Amino acid sequence: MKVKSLCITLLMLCFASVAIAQFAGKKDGKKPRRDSNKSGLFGGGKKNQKSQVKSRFQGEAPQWQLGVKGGVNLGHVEATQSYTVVTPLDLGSNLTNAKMYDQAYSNMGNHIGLTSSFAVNPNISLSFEPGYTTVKFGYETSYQWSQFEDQQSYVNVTNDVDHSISYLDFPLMLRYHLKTGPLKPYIQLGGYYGFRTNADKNINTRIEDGAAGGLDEISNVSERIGVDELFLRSSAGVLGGAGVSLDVGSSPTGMNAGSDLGTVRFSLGVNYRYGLHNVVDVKNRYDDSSLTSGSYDVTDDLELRNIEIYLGCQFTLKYKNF
Amino acid sequence: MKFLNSILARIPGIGAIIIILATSCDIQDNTVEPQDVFTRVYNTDNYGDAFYPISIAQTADSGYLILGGREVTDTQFLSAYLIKVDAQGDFQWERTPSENYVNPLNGLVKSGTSYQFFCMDKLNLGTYLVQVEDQAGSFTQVGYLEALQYPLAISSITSGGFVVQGYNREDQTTVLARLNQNAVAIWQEEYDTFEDVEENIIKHMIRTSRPLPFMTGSVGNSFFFNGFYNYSFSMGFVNASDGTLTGVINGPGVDDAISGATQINGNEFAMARYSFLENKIIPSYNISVNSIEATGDLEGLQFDELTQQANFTIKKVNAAGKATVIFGTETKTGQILLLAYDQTDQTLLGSRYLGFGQPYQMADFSTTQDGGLIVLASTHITGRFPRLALFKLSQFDLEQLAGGPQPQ
Repeated sequence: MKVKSLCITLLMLCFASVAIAQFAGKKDGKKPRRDSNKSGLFGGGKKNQKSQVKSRFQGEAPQWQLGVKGGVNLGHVEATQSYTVVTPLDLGSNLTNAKMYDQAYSNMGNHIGLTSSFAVNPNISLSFEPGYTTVKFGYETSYQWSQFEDQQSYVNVTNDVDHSISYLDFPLMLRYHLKTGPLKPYIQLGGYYGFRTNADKNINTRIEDGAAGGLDEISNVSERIGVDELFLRSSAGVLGGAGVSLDVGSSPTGMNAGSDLGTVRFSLGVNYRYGLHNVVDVKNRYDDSSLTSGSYDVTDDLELRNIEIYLGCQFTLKYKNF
Repeated sequence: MKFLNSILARIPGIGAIIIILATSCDIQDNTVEPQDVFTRVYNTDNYGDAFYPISIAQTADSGYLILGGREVTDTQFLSAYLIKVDAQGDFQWERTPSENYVNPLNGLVKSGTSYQFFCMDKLNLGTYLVQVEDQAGSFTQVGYLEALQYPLAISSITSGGFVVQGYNREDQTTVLARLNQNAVAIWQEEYDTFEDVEENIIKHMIRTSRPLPFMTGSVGNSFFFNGFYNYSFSMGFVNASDGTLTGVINGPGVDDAISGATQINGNEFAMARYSFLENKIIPSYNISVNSIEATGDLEGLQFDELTQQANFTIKKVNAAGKATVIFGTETKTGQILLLAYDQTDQTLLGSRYLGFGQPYQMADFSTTQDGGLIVLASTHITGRFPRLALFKLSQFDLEQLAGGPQPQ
């Protein structure tokens, strides 16, 4: 269902992006131009194709691009300081009550948004990619009570805790294309700021009670709690990654009269996002009694680590003869 | 088109500004020390363990010394049990000082660099005064009063020493004794209950019934006790020099009694009482130590959400620049309720609930060196196993409770 929504949204953003590009062309009251590096509009028509071929080989390339991107986030958090409610009354106890975090990058979130880039030269461009991103992570805590003399007297409680935090995301990156041409591998480095819009915590509690006569799970309660206040509004960090872009379709020199889309650039890439600070609002860590004293769950200090895999396409708004 | 291009040209700059502005606000302001706020439940993995909290005191190292009772196999009484935790609530040590020490009483009293508490002898039912060194976790028996049996409540006297309430099962009398600092009796007086209440007292001690609100304390040149007297559960006032009874607030039977009291100024007390199913809070009441009254005469604010015959811990606190009285009690839904009243005009300043989803009951609370509040509670972890719980509120939380600054 989420994948479907993601695809539909991506498609709509794609149409919107095309519409913006088209609107930009029409507003100037002329057909999109391919022969100038000054007006900077992509366009169609067959006029001056020879000169365009010439200019292309002289170094005309997309300068401004606008498009959409989307993909998945493989979430991971680094607990920089642990907190616990249930505290063992024995320093030598193996009752650590520590949270067992999910395997790194095993929780899949998603992201979707716009992507814009400005080419400084054929190899270097600046990208600003505002979007909506959701990161997920989780852990498990378990507690056991037993009686040595009576094997039937035991209780096992396991809390499976999952988090989902959504941000309006504003990444800014410097991208370096390792080579020129239609197929261009690139590396990029930048920073991001996220504005938290929503945070949920889902606690699934399983209880096995040997004393009640059953060996199987006797209770499985799932509770979803909004925890907006538990996470800071802001999230900032650095990111770096690599990918490959492919310029297809019309270009200033090879444009199809009917398409009017200019150069369309498809990108496939991976970013590693490294949060620079604790995203938990420590002032509110213990505020939700249903979590702390009901489920004995208290959130650690957490820094976000994320692998972002994305696919994007960009439409050219302006060319420049570099 | 120029407009669009101009917007696009500014995007990187706008992005950079957003990042700079954003990282300068809530991220940088995100600091709270771990000892400022925490919630703890102290647990063992033994199915049969049961711990009940009694009293808490903050130690010189900013940690906390907790007095409690622990179920043991050779007696139905709770064995005296202490744990020490650090300022963040992390466990440091636990002790069960002696198998003879049972039924510890509410009140960890600071004595120099040590702490003292009273408890009962397991077999002879006499009264011990025990001293504990919080750093070493060692114990010293300060005194033992064999004649003061079934100790039920103690309070320390400003001028030194203690007032201890007990019960004489042979004479069927409530006993009040004034002790010096070494637990030597200065005087000991008895007050007729006119009926055998030993069963009620034992049920109270072994927790098979609701705990009864036994208390002692001082008011001017008098002491008071809250206990069995004259066929009822009453508050009696006695002369501090010889224990002569001078006045009483009678409660009809045990279903109507004063459930909490603390002195505000002179004869002015903040009190709470229950009457069958009702619980009432009396933010201010002028006690007359020389007259006979009835608990029914004490008008108060009725709180229907409280558990039946709720116990109260009432203490004076200075918070947010105000002289405040905090009432700590428990609700029918298993939450702890803190209510703050202005000492001067008795208006409600604020309230705060602690605990949710599991049952919690108030045991004791105290202000802390950092201006916060520590609340000792009883809970049943996962609804099953009796354990000790701690709630630490920050100075800001306490000020909010007292009607101070509200969160943004």
